[in-house]
Amino acid sequence: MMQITLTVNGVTKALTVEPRRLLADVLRHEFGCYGVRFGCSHGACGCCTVHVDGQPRLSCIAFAVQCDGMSIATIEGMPKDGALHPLQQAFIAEHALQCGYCTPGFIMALAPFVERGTDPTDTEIRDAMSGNICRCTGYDGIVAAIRRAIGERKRVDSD
Amino acid sequence: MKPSAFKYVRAGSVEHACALLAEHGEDARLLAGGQSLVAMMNLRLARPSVLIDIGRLALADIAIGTGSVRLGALTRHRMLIEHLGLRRMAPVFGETARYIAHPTIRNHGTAGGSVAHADPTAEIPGLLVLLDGHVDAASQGSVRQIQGRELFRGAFSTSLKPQEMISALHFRIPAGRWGGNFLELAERVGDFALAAVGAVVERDGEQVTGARIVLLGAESVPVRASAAEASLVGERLTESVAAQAGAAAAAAQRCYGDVRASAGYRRHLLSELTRRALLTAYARAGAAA
Repeated sequence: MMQITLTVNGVTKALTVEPRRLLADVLRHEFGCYGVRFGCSHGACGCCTVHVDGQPRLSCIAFAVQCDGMSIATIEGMPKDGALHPLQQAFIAEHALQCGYCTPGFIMALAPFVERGTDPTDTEIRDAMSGNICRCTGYDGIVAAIRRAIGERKRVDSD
Repeated sequence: MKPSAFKYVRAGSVEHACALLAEHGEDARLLAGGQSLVAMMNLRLARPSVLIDIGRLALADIAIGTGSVRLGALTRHRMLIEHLGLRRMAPVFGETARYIAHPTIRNHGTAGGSVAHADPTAEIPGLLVLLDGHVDAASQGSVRQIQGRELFRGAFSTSLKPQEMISALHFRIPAGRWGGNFLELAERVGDFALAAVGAVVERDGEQVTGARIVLLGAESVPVRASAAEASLVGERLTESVAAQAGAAAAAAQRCYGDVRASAGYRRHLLSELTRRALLTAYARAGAAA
């Protein structure tokens, strides 16, 4: 067992964990972040994407002990001041989800792309989302949501 | 909670990591980005009893010298795409790295880890062999160089000793006018390659003065198409010369067949990718200052 400290969505906790516990498992069971999903458990589907120190990371192929002292954001931490993240809003507007299992992973993987994107082509958007799988195959709606979110952000930026 | 139990130690330096390797021997594995190793542990294809985490060591520097590029072992794949010096001097690094998995994995996967993992069609091992590279293999009290061509022994197998860790990768870049290209075909974007080819062409005017071709998917390790390389020197690299070189490079390979592609299809891909990569590299060499 090892002593570690994680800050998740702004809440810091000291924990005693077995080294073999995956970050996704600890986020779900010690922090109650059930928006973190296990899909394939070997880094192929993107369902478990979270931000570690601001950068997207697959929490099913990271051990919690590796992230000792780090700051983690999950889908539960994305709304700010009661408002959904622009990409979450765009997912609703474009009906970019069916069953919703993959959605948190898509939002976490693509939020930084939306926040810095300028005018990506559809190919660039599809390349950026290539690490995430939607088994309902609703990809067109997701591309549209990403495009909408970038457009919204640019509109706000220029105001 | 799927991996089997292990002891976790965080290394504070290369020396510390080497001491831990010497202490624990073959039971230990180094953990860098973990993008392959942890997946294998989840599937219990790997069951190390000790994990030595080197992920926080300061080994992620990129140094560009005259005719050489040095990558610290923990250089993330993403840095190969974004590094301004590399983009200017050797854009083939970023072009190759774009084929590695997906953006999220490229944030964390490392050059040294990819080479030590030695997946048969992995991009960084291919680049190391293409660019006549070598690695620094550190162990307690010493560092030895291992040439890329001698490093890869078979699928997921290298000539690294259990007590050694890769601390840096070195690549040789042509001095004169040259161009490179890396092409890969996979069933899905970011998936494991069915076949891939890297090419470097040096030219003087219209004439090829040097060529290097690496093939992935021909054997369980990256291989150079030496005969095809030699046949290009002194030639003007026309469409038909490129097609002949591609056909010759592929025909010399046994190739392997599996559930995803037959040996014959892989040979066809290697021939066609070689043709295209040579033409692109030649054109880029012509455009280079």
